[in-house]
Amino acid sequence: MSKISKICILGGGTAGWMSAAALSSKYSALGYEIDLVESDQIGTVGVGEATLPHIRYFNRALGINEADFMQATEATFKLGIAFKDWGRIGDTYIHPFGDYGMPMEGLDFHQIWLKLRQMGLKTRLDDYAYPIIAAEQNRFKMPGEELNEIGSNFGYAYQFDSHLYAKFLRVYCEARGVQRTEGRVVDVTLDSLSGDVASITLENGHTIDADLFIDCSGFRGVLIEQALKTGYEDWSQWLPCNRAVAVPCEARGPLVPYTTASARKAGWQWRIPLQHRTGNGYVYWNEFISDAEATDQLMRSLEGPALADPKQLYFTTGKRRKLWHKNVVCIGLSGGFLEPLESTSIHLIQEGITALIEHFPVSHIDALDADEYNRRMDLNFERVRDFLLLHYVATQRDDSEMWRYFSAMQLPDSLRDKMDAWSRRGYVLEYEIGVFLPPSWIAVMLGQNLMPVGYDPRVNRYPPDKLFQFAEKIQTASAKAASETPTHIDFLTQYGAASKTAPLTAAPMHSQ
Amino acid sequence: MPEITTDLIVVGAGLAGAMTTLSLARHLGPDYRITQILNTDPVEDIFYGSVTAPSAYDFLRSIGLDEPYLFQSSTTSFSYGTLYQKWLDRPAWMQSHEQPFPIIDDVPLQHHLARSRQPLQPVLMAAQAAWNGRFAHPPQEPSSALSRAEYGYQFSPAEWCALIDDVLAELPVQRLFAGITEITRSDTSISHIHLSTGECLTANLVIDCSGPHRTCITAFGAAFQTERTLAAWTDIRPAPELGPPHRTLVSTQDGWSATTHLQSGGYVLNIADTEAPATPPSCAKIALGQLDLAWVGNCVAIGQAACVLEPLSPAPMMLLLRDIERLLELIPTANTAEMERREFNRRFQADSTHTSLFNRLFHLDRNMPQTAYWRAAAKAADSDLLNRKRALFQHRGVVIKYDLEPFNTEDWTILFHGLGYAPEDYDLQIENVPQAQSERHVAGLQSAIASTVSRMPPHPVYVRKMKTYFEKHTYA
Repeated sequence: MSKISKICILGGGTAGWMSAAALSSKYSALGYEIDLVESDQIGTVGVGEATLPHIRYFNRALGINEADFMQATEATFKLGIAFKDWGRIGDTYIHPFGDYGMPMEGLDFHQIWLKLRQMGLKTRLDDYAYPIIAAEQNRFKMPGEELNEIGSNFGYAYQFDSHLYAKFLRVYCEARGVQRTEGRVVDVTLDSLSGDVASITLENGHTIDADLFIDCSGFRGVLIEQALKTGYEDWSQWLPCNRAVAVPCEARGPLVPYTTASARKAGWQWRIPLQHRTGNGYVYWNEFISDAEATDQLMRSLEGPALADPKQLYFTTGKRRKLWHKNVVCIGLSGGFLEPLESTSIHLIQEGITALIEHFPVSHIDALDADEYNRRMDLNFERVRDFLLLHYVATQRDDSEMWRYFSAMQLPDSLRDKMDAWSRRGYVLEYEIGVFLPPSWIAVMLGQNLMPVGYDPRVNRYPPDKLFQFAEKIQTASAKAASETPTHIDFLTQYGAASKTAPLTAAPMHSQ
Repeated sequence: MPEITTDLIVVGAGLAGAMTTLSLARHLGPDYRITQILNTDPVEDIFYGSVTAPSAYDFLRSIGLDEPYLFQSSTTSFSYGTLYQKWLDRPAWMQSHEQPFPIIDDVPLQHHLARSRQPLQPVLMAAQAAWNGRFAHPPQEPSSALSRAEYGYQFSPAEWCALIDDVLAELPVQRLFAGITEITRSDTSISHIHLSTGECLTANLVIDCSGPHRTCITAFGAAFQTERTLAAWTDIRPAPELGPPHRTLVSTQDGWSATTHLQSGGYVLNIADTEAPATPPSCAKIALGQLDLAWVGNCVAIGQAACVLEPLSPAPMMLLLRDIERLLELIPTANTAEMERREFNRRFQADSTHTSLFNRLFHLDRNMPQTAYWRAAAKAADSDLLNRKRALFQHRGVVIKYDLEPFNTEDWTILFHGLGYAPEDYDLQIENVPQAQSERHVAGLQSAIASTVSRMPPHPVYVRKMKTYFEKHTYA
């Protein structure tokens, strides 16, 4: 078979332009012809506006200047996610990007805290996590060089306008030779021998052929599903929310360095603070709430006037049976949908791109690469699924049909084992492939009141005084580091990342 | 004194019993009572081999066996890895311990080498030092080439066992030199262990470190799947001076032979098929294989009692340390330990499978003699997980990963190269870096390593000076 020379990316949302940016940068010397086909008539979903710290490495690999990017996308810094009303109504906790405390001679800090708590200590585990304290006080700074030092023991991500991010990347891509074609796909031709996608035809009759297609066409999966009939694994038995309504509004109050996810009776609501506006959305299960009611609840809860009409989305949680099938790799929503409760939408795009680059066809499309890509991405998706489901099942809520559905649910073994191990002794089952590390699991389990009955007995070899002193030192240092941290808005401005335009308003003032 | 809530009995003398008992004694508080029954003569300990991986450093320190103690109280020496001087028809290669390969111009080192078809060994810091017989501790500064070298130890299992026994004698651990005459059990637990002295013991958890005897774990019907059987015997070759910081291994018609360079001289381990002509009648024998479950009821198997791997690589020691660490992380606090048992077994399965993959690669696809050792090894080498790894490497030079494998990407890459696997293609990312520039980087790396090596002291000199230093400072 001949070498790969033409790549066609179908779809120009976040997934499409991120893919195009990575491929055009990584393979700039190879002279690939990269076509990106998108249609202005088809809106992009752009639900993912909050990210995980890994996005920084993606941008850095592209050589993107951080302040420029933040300014262009109205981005804010993100230290974690605040979860409201998840364990019980009235509860709040922050899932931070960073560790709790520091290990003592190889023992995880939370084990020490669990023991001290049994001895009467009244502090929260959060009091030993710098990123939580900084987030609660609405402060931000960059981590320092020494990542083990209190005040530097955290990661950060962004909240940004994903449409602006796609636009930003489009400029980047076009400067690197990516050819953008406007149009809708009306026909897909398969190679009669191999069954590969040979070409796509647009409504103006224009035909684009390619050796490799990247399907970023969103939920519809124009190539991976409509053309190749790859099949979809439906996960709605575990994650049954199937609709969302999204609307931006005017920003009110201080600019906080975190996303908020508030549990509701039939789903949950997000709030994403950007510089020019606030993003809002309500993810729900239509079994227990009507679209109109969900929209009404969302609109009534907005902090400021809405900036657009609410946008309705329909989805089925799950993933494509094969994320790489024949000569089509699906990245983004065409590959699967997991509700954006933990900001994994853009992250899974990034995982897909990283895995694609590691297994990018060298001389031809090889089943070995596709199989390995699928094995790895399947693990990524499944582990995110378990983590999302954890939020719904580690809860004491039983105040609605939805919460009662979850409390009666038969959990996947992988998740059940993880929750058992934690509840018994604060032990976190670890894996290597997958985005959420033990501190993330601890944040959610503890934040939703899953308090272990025991702790790691190795803690008992230390005299309690030593443990108290150790904990106190970390608590003091964390509080001090937070108090010396500038406010989020001050840091953003001083960093050169502040937007040059005024925040959006619902009723723009008429010019005189 | 806090109340004793949990009784632990370690069954078995030898390296596994000693290391496990010491680890429990160091890591647990006074709420645990630890008893060791020294009922076995651990002749099979030689199958643990005589080298460790770098992971041994932290482990040994955590149980109080730091380098001053190890080097002054035993003939332990440093190990950058194993030199496979003659493995079947392969040219010699140093299977060294390395830090993650550097990323140059945004592209991992191995892709630079692959495009230019340059060899791997000259850019491996630990390998080059080992080839030249030199050693120095890696410095903290990451800018130094030497910081890329990792090291383990060359050691004698019998010596380490004796050394730990000395330490244990000073600790509040009850040690009983007695045979086990009877084990009584209920459906779910071992209730009593009767000793030849007439004593009868009870425990919350019985830790079976009795090696291939599996004194307790098989009482619960845990099944050991035998893969093949090996014979081993050792020779001591006293030498006036310490040898190089690596083990040297050659394959033979019926197995292989490895020389470990200890402070006292060469320690030769011979491995062969049990029926081979050269196998002496007095050899030790062991069945390779593993238990289906390492923790059943209130009994958990550690080390050879759970899984026996060939000491062709540091695999047996890596697995022993992982067994002990896994036990420490899951040590139960009371009689019921359902969650601990389930998780221990899950991790045991993953660890033993993953560790054995590395050894299996040595026995795949080569021109092997048609003798019992090689035939049995080749037959056991087939594994889907390994085939996938091998296929991807042959295809494009990448090492795919499974969760939390003990051997890292560098170990695998060096082994694939050593065994002569040549990827069909190289990764196209490298095309962004002009070839001349890439070759300059590689040449620069090679010369930095060569220059570092030339400034390092010979292994025996380094160890001698280090010990003098230890003696002058009060470490005793």
